[in-house]
Amino acid sequence: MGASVDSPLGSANVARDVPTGERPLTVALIGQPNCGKSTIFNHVVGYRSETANFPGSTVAISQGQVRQNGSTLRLLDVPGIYSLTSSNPAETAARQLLLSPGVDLIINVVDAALLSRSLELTLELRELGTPLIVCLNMMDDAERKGTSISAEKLSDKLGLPVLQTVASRGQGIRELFAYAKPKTIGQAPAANPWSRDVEDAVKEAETALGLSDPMSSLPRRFVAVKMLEGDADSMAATDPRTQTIIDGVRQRLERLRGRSAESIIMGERHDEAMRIFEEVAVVGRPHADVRFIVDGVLTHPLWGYVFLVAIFVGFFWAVFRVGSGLEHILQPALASVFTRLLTWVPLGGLNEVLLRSLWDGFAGGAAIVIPYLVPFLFGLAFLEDVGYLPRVAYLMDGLLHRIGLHGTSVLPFILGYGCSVPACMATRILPSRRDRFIAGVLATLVPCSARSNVIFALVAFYLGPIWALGVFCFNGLVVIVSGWILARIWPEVSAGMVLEVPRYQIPTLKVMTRKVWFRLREFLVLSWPLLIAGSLILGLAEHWHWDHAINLALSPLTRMLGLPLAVGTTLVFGVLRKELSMVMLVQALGTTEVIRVMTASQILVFTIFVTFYVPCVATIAALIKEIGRKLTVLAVIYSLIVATALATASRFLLLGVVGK
Amino acid sequence: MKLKSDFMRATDPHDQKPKSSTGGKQTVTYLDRAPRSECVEVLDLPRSRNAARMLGQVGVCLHEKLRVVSTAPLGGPVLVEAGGTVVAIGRSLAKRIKVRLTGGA
Repeated sequence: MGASVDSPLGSANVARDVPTGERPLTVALIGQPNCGKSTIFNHVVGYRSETANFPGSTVAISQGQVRQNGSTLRLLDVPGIYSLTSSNPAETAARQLLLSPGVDLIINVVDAALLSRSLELTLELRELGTPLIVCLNMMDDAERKGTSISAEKLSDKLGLPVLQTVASRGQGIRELFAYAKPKTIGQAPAANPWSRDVEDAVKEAETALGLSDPMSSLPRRFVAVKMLEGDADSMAATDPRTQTIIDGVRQRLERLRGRSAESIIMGERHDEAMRIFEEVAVVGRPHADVRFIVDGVLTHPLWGYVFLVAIFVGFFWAVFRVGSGLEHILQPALASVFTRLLTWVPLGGLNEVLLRSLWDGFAGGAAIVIPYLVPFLFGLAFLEDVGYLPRVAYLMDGLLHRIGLHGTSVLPFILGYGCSVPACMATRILPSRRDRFIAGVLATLVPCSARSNVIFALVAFYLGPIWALGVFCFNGLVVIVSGWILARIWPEVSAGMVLEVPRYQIPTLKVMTRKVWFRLREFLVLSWPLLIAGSLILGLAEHWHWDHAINLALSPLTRMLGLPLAVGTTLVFGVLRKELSMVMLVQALGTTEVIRVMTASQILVFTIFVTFYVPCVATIAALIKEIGRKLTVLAVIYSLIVATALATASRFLLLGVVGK
Repeated sequence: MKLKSDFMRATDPHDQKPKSSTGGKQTVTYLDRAPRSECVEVLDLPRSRNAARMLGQVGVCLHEKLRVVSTAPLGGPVLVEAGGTVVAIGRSLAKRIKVRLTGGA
């Protein structure tokens, strides 16, 4: 995941021309989800943070360093937060970072088209006292909605510098960072007083905190407000005596107003944000926008589902057509290059084994993986950037409820079609541990691009695209049934789905290309060398007949599945990287014409097993981080049981359908 | 004799067909029953602290005006426009948000 780190101040960073010994200025990009923080970050440090048009696309803190106006900036891209009271792990990471003393300057990125709501977070950030700039982003969208905002008036009302940007086009970003100097900005002004009864309660809580203030680096007033809101983290950091006093103050306020203190304070912030919005913005008629008509169709109770199926079938069909077309061109071309290559080296012995193994690994990546991976990543980037995924979550929520999850969980699943690692990380946007566990397990069952490659290159290529579509549908069914089973094992009443559905955006080719390159690079620098090394090891193992031991050890499994004995080794390699199981299969069988040595039924059984069995090493590591060791072990065992049971059942059921 | 269940049926807005304030008698209902394209005012939110916070964060607050955009089938969410943004609210939550119908968009 590139430069993503998940502790508030992690170690992975990207430095650009940074002199050693100089303490960089730490600047945090903070804002509500989907307001363009990552777009600004990527514009400044290069594409290091994944962007997408849906809330919660950034789940870890990314950082990069750049030189700006003679000083070094350490820029942090922080997951989107609605408030400083955290409700999921991604928000907790953002909050911990903000409340730590390491941040010199906050750039509060605000979606200008949603100004009134976004200002609620601005008002809360102002209470921290840290130097703060407001970046009024997406000004073009605000204009399209007919909203005209006076940045000067807003700056005057907030007592903070306000700069305007259109980050998607790079407008205003240079000016924003030219201004980003804490010395010139100074501390954020004191927050406005609350209404009288709330203000009295805040003052009383401040007094109670007294000298025992547990978060001494934070303004006492901020901590007092958080404690009145019932923020669990602030409460936990306070001594029991102070807690009791503040509990009493809170209860008195709640009795007075007949509502929870949190909703009273949220309501006051909401009212103030609305008041400021009305003073600084003029709302006119929105421009005619075809996106409303499109959205009406794509979220329609009937047509929405018709288009959902059509879009995903079209997506996979397009990936197959482009991928198989490229494979048909590349395979013979690479084979002829290899034939020429063989004329230059002496045939036979270890030399030929080494050359053949290295070439098999290289050609497997170039002719089998990349042709399907590139169009797949482009398609996924398009769906993400256009903003269709939250609509999928909306349409699928009813169905997911029947298996004990809610629509937001569909986002990790769809990301899982790209790579299981970000999919597991994306479970952080889910509020409960149980939801994260179930979504994490299910996301690993969804075929990632590497496993989709196996489906495309084996099933679609040899048996036809309809069979490949069948495998994808079967996979979807298994995910649904697994969710249903897991939700019954671990039942819980969820608070329900609340998901913001963003405006459609027209993705730019530049951003999509950078995103595809960002993801493809992982294959090029990590998987492909592994693939070549794995191929070399397998070649040497075959040469010295070591592979027999592995194949023999796995023979009970391969016999049960009715697969050739040689397949055993490829399954071991597949745990390292899923792409390996495909390329290793070609090498283990000694031919690229798999259909000559495996029957149609065996190809399907192998694909079904590879689709479900043990997630790759990187995914296991991501799962451990998200759900812990014990639950990860359970997830791995579950995947192995599912894969073995389904592949064995398929072996016998498919005999009648596709023959031996 | 009036049974308790009859009483509940008479007072629970879920058991009555909602009609718009512009043309009907009943104007108070729950969000999941509000007709498509109808504008509503939030009268009451779920008691759960988490649910109220999640809703408040996306602009669904007490006395806030919303517009019902669409309702997904199969017990799916209700899509509403709140403060310039569109929000999908799960049906189980929408069932607990009491609203007053204020007319078509």
